[in-house]
Parts: sequence; C-alpha cells; structure tokens
Amino acid sequence: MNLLYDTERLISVIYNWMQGLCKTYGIPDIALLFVIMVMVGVLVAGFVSVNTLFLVLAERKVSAWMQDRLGPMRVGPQGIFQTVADAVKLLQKEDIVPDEADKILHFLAPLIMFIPAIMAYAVISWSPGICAVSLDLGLLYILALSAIGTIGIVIAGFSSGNKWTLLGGARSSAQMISYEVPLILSFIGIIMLNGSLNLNSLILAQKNMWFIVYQPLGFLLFLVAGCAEINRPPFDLPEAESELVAGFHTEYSGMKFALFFLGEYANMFICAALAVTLFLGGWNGIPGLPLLLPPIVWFLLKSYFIIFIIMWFRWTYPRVRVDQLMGFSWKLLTPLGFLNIAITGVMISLGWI
Amino acid sequence: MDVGFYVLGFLAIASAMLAISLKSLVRAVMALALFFLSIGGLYINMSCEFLGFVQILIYVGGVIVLFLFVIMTSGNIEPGKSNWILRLFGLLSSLLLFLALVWASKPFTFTRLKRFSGIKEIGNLLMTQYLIQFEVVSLLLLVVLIGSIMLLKKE
Repeated sequence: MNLLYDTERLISVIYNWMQGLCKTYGIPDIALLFVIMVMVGVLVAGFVSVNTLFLVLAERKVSAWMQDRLGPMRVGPQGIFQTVADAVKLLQKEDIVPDEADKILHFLAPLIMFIPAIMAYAVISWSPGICAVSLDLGLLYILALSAIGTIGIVIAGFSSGNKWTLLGGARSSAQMISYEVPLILSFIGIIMLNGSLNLNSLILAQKNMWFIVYQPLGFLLFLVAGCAEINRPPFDLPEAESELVAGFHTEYSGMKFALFFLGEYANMFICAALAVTLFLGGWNGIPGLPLLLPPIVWFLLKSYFIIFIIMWFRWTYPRVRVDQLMGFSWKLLTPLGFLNIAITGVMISLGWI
Repeated sequence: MDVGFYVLGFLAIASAMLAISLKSLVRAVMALALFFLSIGGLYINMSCEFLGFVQILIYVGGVIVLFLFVIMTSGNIEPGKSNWILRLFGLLSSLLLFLALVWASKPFTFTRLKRFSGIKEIGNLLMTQYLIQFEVVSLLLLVVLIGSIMLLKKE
C-alpha cells in the first residue's frame, strides 16, 4: 500500500525487477527499452479508450441528473454498460465514404486528429515519477500537438464534400486560431512565476500553495479558452447540431467516427489534466493538510472534477452565436489575458508573490 | 550525421515538391503542413527543442489553418496558363535564390548544440543583445496589423 504513495520507489522496484529478469536470461538493454516503450504505449491507449467509455457514460448521466431524468438504464445495473454496448455497435458498422469525398484526405483526417491527442499523454505527470517523458518544454509540446489536431477537424470538414461539414471545418479553423491566443496568454503568468515549462517542476512548485490563488483570472481564462479549444459547449460551433447536422463529422461512420469521438474525449481529459497541473497543484494534496490519498488519486479526482465543471457548462449556457464568437475571444478574453500578465508582472516586481 | 537527419530531410524535400506540384489546393496545403512538421522535427533533432515546437505551433497551428480557412471560404482556384518565358524566369530566379542562400550560409559552420532548450537563455538574448531587432520585428507586425485594418475598412 505504501508503494502507491511513494510511486517513485514503485517505478524503481518494477524497473529493477525487469532488469534482473533481463540479466538472468541475457536479454540486451535495447530490448528492455523497447518493451517498456510498448508497455507505456499500451497503458496510454488503454487509458484513453476506457476513459472515453467512462466519460461518455458520465456525460449522459450528468446531463440526465441536471435535467431530472434517469439517463441510460437498460444495459447492466444502472445502465453502466451502455457505452460498452455502443462501442461494440460502432465497431460493427459499415465504413461509408461519400462519392464526392476526397478519398485520401477523408481517410487521413480522423488519424490527424486522434494521434496528436494520444501523443499529448506522453508528458502528463500522473504521480511522482510516473511520467512517460519529463520534457523541459512539456507545455509547449502539448500546445504544438493540439495545433496539429485542429488540422484533422478542418480537413475532415473539407474532404467530406458536403456543405454542412465544410461550414463546420471553416468555423473550427477560425475558432481554433482565435482561442489559442487567450489560452496561451492565460498561463504565461504561471510561467513568469515559475520560470519553467516542465510539468513536473510546475507541480513541485505548488507544494505549499496552488497557483490558482495567485492566478484566479488566469484559471478562468484557461477554462473558457480551453473549452473553446476542445469544442465543448457552449463553444461547439464546429458540430452545432441544430445548425449543421453534426458539423465536421457528418459524413463519418463506424470506426472513423469513433476515432473522432475518442480524440475529442482524449483532448477533454488533457485539458482537464492541464488545468489541474497548472492551477490546482497536480498530484499534491490540499496545502497545509497531510496527504490523505495517494497522489494519483488526487490527480484523477481533480481532473474529473474539472471535467464535471466542463459538463456543467454544457447544460448551463446556450451556444455562443457565430458572430459573437470572434468578438468574445479578441475583444474580451485576449485583453483580459494581457491584463493578467501585466498584473502578475507588477506583483512580481513589487515582491508580493 | 545520423539517420534522423536523413529521414526528416528527405521528408522535407519530398513534401515541399509535392506542395508545389499537387493540383488540389487543399492537398498542396497538407503537403506544406508535412513540410513544416519535418522542419520542426529537424530543429528538434538538432536539440533546438524550443525552436522546433514553436515552428510547429506557429506554422502548422497558425499559418496552415489560416490557409485552409482562406481556401474553404474562397473555393478552389484554377491554376493560370504558363508559357516558356514565365518558366524560364521562374527557373532563373529560383537558381539565383539558391546561390544566394549557399553564399549567405558559407561563413557558418554547423555543429550540434548542447541542449539549447532553455527559454531563459532565449529570453535573455532577446531582451539584451538582440533588443533592437526584436523591437523592429514587433514594429513590423504592428504595421502589418494597421495595414490590414486599413485595407478592410475602405468605407
């Protein structure tokens, strides 16, 4: 049980055991490295799929709860196997490619969206020592990947050869470009406080106090701009179902559609994990209190709390109109981001932080 | 050099050639995106991680998405007719550009940097040694911004 709290030791124990096995059977070190890489990949892919199944169910249950309904109840006790059944159904579906479509790009678009979403998990720090790559520029790495993922959505919209999807893709490109700016501005204050882009060192710096205390405005900006960046309501204009059928993924079926779904929920978890890492202390417990739960439990609890807030948004606010979308980002969020940076700079130079 | 350099270099050249030869504009832009990605990969391969990630963030995330947006709103444009005078002119000017680049890069020797990922070093250099260039670039961006507003607000 103690090993769950001291995950750095847990990792070293597992690594030493594997190295011992390799020594006794005479397996070269390169093979061990390869095996570890495959194991990490399988773990991440497994987490992404199970997490998606869980989040889809959670989304339906949360929305049902907020609207005083029951939600899915038929498959399994309280309907907990509903999304598993849905996934099996999606696997069996025929893959339809429209005649008008640009075949190559239509095939590539789900991959371009999904692969960066999975790659971002490489730098997430789950618990002390549990982090696939402790990259010095981890934050920038995630941003660069999310930029690539956008292209997948835009290309999906274009290559389907359908006016609804084209509109969805065009909206997505405009939205991504304008909301990336306040998103980046929102955590520059934290980089100024800490002087590092490494997610591990950002979490370690929050041992005594979470950054949300110093950066409340930054946290709000991050939540709003992050919501827009992952296409969640009230910013789900690329797939606004009341206007555009299903937006950019109207012409996708079967596993390709499922890939978009997986990518979307993977991105949602990344956004929540990033909010937790940057503002809510990552795997640290509540400052001043003893660590009651293992760090990884803290991390997941906080992440799912942020996801709950994002789902809460969906049933609280009506969708932003397309003509308000640009103005909201450039005229309100971006100046607020600059204001936050200026305030942080003044506070640092006065020595208040 | 090493395998990574050759793979990424080949990818960069191949995708750049695709970008100028593909008929469909969106496909050409996607080839350009692959080109920018491989250039970013080359930077990372040379241990300039910051430059590589910023290259991907700005060029793939900004420029390419903007290209796609423009193509989507304006539609596919038919390529114009070309004749041998234009082709000769293009060949000569690209040859001249290539020679200029070779001449300009002559005084530099290319060595692998030792872990230059530090954002602090880059920030310090921009704020001390290269302050004037930095400010001139920001002034240029401001001029571009004002110019585009002027162009859009004709009335």
